[in-house]
Amino acid sequence: MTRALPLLSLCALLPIGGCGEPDLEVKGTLDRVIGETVTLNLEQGENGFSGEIELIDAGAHRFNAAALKANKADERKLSFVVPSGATPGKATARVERKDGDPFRVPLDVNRLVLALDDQGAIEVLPLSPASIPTGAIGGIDALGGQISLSASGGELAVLAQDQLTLLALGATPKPVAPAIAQSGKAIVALPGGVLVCSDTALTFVSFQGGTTSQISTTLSGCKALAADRSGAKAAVLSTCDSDKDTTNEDCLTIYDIGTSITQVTNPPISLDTNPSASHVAMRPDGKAVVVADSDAVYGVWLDVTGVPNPDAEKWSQAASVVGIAMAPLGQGEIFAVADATSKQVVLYGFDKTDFKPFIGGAVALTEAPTALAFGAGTRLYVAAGTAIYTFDATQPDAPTAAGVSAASAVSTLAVQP
Amino acid sequence: MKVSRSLTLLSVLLPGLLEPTAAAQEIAVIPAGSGPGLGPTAAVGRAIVKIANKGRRRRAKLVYVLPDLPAENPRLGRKAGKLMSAAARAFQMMEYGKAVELAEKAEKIYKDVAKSGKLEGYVESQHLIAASAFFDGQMARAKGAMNDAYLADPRPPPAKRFSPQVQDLYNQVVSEPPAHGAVRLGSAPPGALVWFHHKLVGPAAGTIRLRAGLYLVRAYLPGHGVYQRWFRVQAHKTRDLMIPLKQDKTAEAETMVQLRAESAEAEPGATLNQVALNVGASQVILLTSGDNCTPQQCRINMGWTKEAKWHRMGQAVYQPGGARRAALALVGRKRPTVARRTNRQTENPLAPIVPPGARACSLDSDCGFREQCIRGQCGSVTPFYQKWWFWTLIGVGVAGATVGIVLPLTRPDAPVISVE
Repeated sequence: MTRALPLLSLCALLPIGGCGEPDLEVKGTLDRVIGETVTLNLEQGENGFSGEIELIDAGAHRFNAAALKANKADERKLSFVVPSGATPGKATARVERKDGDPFRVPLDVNRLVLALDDQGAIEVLPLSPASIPTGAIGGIDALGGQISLSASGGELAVLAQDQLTLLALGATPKPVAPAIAQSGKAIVALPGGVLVCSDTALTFVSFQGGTTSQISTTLSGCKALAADRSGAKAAVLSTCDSDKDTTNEDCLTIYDIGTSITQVTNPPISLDTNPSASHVAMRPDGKAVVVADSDAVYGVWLDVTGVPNPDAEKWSQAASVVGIAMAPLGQGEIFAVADATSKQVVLYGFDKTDFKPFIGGAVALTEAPTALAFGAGTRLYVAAGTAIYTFDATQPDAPTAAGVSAASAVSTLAVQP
Repeated sequence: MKVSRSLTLLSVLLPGLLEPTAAAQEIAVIPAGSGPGLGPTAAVGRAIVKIANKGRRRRAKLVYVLPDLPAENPRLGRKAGKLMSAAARAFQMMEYGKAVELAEKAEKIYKDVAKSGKLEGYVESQHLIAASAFFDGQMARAKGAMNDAYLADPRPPPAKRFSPQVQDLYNQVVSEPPAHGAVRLGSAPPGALVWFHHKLVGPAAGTIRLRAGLYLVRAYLPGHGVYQRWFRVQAHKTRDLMIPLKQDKTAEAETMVQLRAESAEAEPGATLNQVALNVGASQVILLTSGDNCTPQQCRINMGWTKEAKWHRMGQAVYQPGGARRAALALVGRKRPTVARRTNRQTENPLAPIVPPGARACSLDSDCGFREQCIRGQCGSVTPFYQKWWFWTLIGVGVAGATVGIVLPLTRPDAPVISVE
């Protein structure tokens, strides 16, 4: 009897295993990038989506429906966004059904480095492990232009040849709406649009719904532009004469972006009388702005009543700042300044309403940096010519090669979070 | 007085072996070497037992009388008894989980009690655990407990207390081919004798194979205290058992001293005959060590009793690794052939005995249709189509083929998701 048991149990199990629901067939583009919207269509099969979804990335991190900004159009159509912070590599979208076992949709997640080089090409450099090839965004000549990556990492704004384009990133980047004619000195990609400043105006161009619309306000002498993560506040670095003494100064003006653009600091905040500043960055929560010029780094705390009081950190020697990068919100509120003269990347952190250099927070490079950007978390990427290095900004140490390199010298760098 | 006390103790240690059997054909092999001679006599004794038992029937066993074990703490026994009563009540109320829990608590106490020589409580608790687990659907646990009980006492659970289903469980455990494990033995200092439950396995050296399960291990070396611990032999695994002995002034059992003294006498003495009677042996092979014996070289003296007289005396030199050679020198170098063994059964007491009704053989051709010569006896051969695995394979094949045919006809369409 006991010897018959294995036989009986085996015979009983076989039909159960064999008669279950057949395997899921998945078709379409499975190579996706951070910030990209993925839409799942249940073309065949019973029991549609319940709306619950979970993404398990290559590092076994789990992202729930809220983190994925999941949107269930109907029982057979569900979309979600590949979340920032996801580990590149094999991932599985676990999609719950109304009845039955969940669907498991395999995906390959890629994190892109986007580099505007001195030849005007926007190079697409997926970080390892990558399932999409290295290449360049075709059809855009961005020579002398600018690029800006949105906070979610899913959209890239490009201003070049007096044309403004917003691209949805993916294995093949596509414009979200037709390009518009727009000139400017600096751009920032915001949720749903692009903020552009020129010699005469500050303009927000909305690209929502596949069409474009604009709001703007006048200004003069824009040199650089920054905004917070939500796109509600912007900082413009310009040259102005705030006290009407006929001497130009480095000026910082804060604007609220809403249904209209409102100047918050009037007159502008005067930083110094040597108008050499060229770069500005804003904390993701909009509470502070940093400005770098040739002799000092300025921190301006905005979360106080009254006139902001700039706090300056002097450079030990003259600097040629090539960029400021601000770590994503919640990552220690760190920012980094790349200086071509000293071939250093200097790291700063905010201390309440003050800001201070990191102890030992300067990373030396063997060649002059040309651009820098934060990727996921506190991982900082620095371009020096065609080489791209990386290190953790909270533990500044010798930089290592990022595993990708540009075809030509990089002038602007962006890395998906 | 001391002799009788030691023999009483032996009766406790060797339950079931005391009753002199009518057909007492067994041989007690007693390693009685003194000091460093104990290990060599035990090694040679083990080899003699191995030679004697090289048939289907077990005829010889090692025997050694231990000194007194620690006295039982009656308080522990009472506490365990109360737990067992509560477990039995839970069993009657069909609260099998609770019964297992209580019986396990009792078992823990009985394990301590067993170190004073009484295994009955332990066996009883294992029977109750097995029965409760069986009715609770925990088959593996039930079999494990029944197996552990069987190792300590091969008798079935009392029929008055346990239902036929529990008796069936016992029969199942006993009839199934047992899993074995190995134990690599050692002692510090070397030369100790080792028991697994009541069975003396020989000196603590080398590797032995045993039926898997839980054993009460005892070890003894004169001049040291009796070492006791519970030890589980794991199926298909080899475990190390290094026995640390503590020096102790506990005297060697008087019986062993007497046996050594009687080995030099013209006739086997009263102690030797009493030991033979108590262990149900018709013959005793008493092994003593000569002077200047060391674990590296030892002269072994053998006195072999039969019908209360010295049947054979012998001497051999033992050296490490040469126990079998010494054993053969003592009890006979040539192993008789099967035919001769059958004919000369009365002449050579070590010759395996063919049970009545069995036919002796030396080749398969000596046996009949569908029979094989197995260990000198003709036995039937089960054809492959009467093996369980054959029908399992047939069943799996049929089920697989059925699924292969039916599945494509009944399977719903595979779900399809397009990713955009």
